[in-house]
Amino acid sequence: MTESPRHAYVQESPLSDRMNPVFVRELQQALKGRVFGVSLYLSLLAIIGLGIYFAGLSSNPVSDEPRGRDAFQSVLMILAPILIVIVPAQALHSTVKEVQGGAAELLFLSRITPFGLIRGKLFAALGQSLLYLSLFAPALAMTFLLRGVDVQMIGIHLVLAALASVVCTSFAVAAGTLARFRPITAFVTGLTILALVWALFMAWGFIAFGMRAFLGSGLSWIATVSAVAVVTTLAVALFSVCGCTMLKHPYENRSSAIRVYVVVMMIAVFALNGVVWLSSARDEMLRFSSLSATAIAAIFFLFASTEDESLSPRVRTQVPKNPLLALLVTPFLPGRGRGLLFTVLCVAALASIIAVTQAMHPAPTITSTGVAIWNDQQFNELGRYALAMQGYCLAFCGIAALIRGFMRPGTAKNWQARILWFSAIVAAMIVPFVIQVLTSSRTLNNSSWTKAHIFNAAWTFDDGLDSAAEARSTLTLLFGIAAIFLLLNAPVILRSVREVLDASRERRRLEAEAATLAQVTESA
Amino acid sequence: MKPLLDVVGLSKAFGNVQAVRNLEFQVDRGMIWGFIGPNGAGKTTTMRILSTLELPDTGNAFIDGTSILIDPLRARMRIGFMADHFFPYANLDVGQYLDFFARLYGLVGAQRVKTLNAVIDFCGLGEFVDRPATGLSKGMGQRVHLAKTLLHDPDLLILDEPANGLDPRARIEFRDLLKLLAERGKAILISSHILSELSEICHGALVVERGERIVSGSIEELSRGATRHIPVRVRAIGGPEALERFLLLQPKVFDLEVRDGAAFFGFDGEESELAPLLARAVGEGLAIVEFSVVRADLEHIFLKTTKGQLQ
Repeated sequence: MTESPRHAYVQESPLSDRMNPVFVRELQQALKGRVFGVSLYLSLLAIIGLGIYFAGLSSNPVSDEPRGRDAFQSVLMILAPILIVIVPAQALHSTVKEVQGGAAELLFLSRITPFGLIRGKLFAALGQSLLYLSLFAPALAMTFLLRGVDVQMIGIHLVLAALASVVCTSFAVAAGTLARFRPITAFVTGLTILALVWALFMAWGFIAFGMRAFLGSGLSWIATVSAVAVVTTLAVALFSVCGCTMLKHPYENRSSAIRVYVVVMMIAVFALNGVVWLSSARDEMLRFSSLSATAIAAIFFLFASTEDESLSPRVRTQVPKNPLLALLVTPFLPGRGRGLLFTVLCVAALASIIAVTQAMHPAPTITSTGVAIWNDQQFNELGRYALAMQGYCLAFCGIAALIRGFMRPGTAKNWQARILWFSAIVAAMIVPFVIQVLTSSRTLNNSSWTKAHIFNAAWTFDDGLDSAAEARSTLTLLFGIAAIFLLLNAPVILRSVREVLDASRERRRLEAEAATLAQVTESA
Repeated sequence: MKPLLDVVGLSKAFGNVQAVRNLEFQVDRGMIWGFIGPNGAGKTTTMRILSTLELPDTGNAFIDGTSILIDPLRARMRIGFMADHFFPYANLDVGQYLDFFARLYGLVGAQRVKTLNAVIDFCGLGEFVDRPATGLSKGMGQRVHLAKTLLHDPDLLILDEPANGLDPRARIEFRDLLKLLAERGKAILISSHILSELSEICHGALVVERGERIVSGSIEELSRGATRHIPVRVRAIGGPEALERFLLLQPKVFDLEVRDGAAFFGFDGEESELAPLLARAVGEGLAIVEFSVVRADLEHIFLKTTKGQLQ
């Protein structure tokens, strides 16, 4: 373009040049929108009303009770709908518009990444929250002057309010990215708004009933805010990673970030439990952490095991050239076989923690064949549940991967495989139950758990792990089933590893060819 | 000189539908290349592949030597893709909209201001910068869309139906903008159903049907291919009768037709052989005032080469 006269409208802005463009745009849009004006106007009216009410109460000579806490709760009650519903709903709306209209994919032709887009939206939500909080500052000052709350408590609650807004916004943005699937957009949007309203009622409940207890509990505010910050970060990271995955094109690498997240989440679960549990119950803490980490990661394992098998050509170009490094990152790369490998490795790590806690304390009885046997007291209940959960993860993911293998290649089939897997598991739960009712005198009410109901995970947890002996036989069966399905999937796992090594070799070859060509060109 | 865009064996299928089949073509710098085909011919799919929004099943494309498969990020910086729809953001002015995209392309400080000013002026948006982006007419919307596409100064412009829905004035203005861009060395790949529009601005065209290349080349080459002969128009003072008599006796002259006071015929020889023919006509005492090779328009080429097959 040639040199042109300056338009007064276009100006330099060194501060905003350093900011995320999406953050700048979202703030511009939000501040120009009607929603901002209306919500601000209404909340200021409510605050003036509150001010008059509390001024009237404090001038009452009969009661000398400090009113600051009530006033503070009232201000938070007014702020909650703005931070928990309005700001996230705006982010949801803008995301749906962008994704559905096709604007989002055009944004990615520029330098912005899906993560940059989501980060911009989250910062915009945080910016709006801080703007609203600053507008409410006079009202907050009034609550302090009325006595009953100190600056520290006001600060903590405002930080919590801003964090809640960011979590809700990240959830809304992640839900908004589902607008890629047009038929479910209206359903997802409605459900998200309902979830935000539910979160609002939860927040109101906390402000009305829980906050007073929290203020009087004497908890260390550093510990509380730190714990909330860790959980919040995990939640925001989860929603952001999910949102990024949905925003990425199927041929991009949509899996690695989620798999890294799963590992980080598992470590965080152990760390959080380590802080919360008493040090004297370390073994219990480890078992509980293993159980809860497996339970949270299960859905991710299932998704990883039902991906399309092959690496897309673009991801092949991102495989590390170093063969050892390529081998190390294999479980984190997209693909059904690598997903199953990732599941196996994670489950093995979590199960080994159970095994170590069982082996270390208390000592099992070692039989002449070398098998460790624990008695009821020794074979801890939490350990049984954790192992069962891990067994189910392996078995179910093995089945899911096998089902996906019967379908045609292409990412479009991934969801079909998941739905088919779910149907197969439901069938495996119902059929033995129906057979039992039909072939015996048992009825729906008095039928009992048998090994045939092994695919009914809930029932197995309820009745199949009662005693150590029963748990041992149930777990043997469960891990046996898992082993069969994993063996059936062994070829695909091997193929997936070989594919990564081939891609790595191909990159090295291309690099060598390019170097030779450059050398020839230079000498010529 | 190697072409700016080099498409090699591009293929893409959606399920059982083969959207693009082994497509190969090149576009040089400063060229406007029409991309023509019936609905469902695979034009948009090809353009999306070239813009790195889709991945081909086989084949590759190179933007000045950069593969869209191996180095999509670098390729994207050389491409300006204008989709068939303009997506304005609510509560943003035209200036803010363009400013947002300038920031997305990494333009900062004085460079951002300079580029924005240049693009706004080039696209004639000076009076509209403070108007809401959502309240623009279709024509102005397309100008903003084009301005957004030009912000990072791409070498290759891929325009998917840019004139769709524009009124005649907006179309003419838009066409002039494209001509200017080509003069500045940009390569432009443009698809449109309004073939008369493309005829006037395109240097060459690629006709596709059912994802396959039917013909491609410069308009002259296509014109030759469509008629098999060089189409010539001749007009002489004193009426076409004498001219018709003369032409009927000339070798390599076919399909002679007289209409609107002029003679039209196909010449089955090289263009260089037309000069002696003209000299002979003048020597015969015919007062020739017009003797020109007629460029077959794209509509003609399109109808001649495609069969109207849908998929």
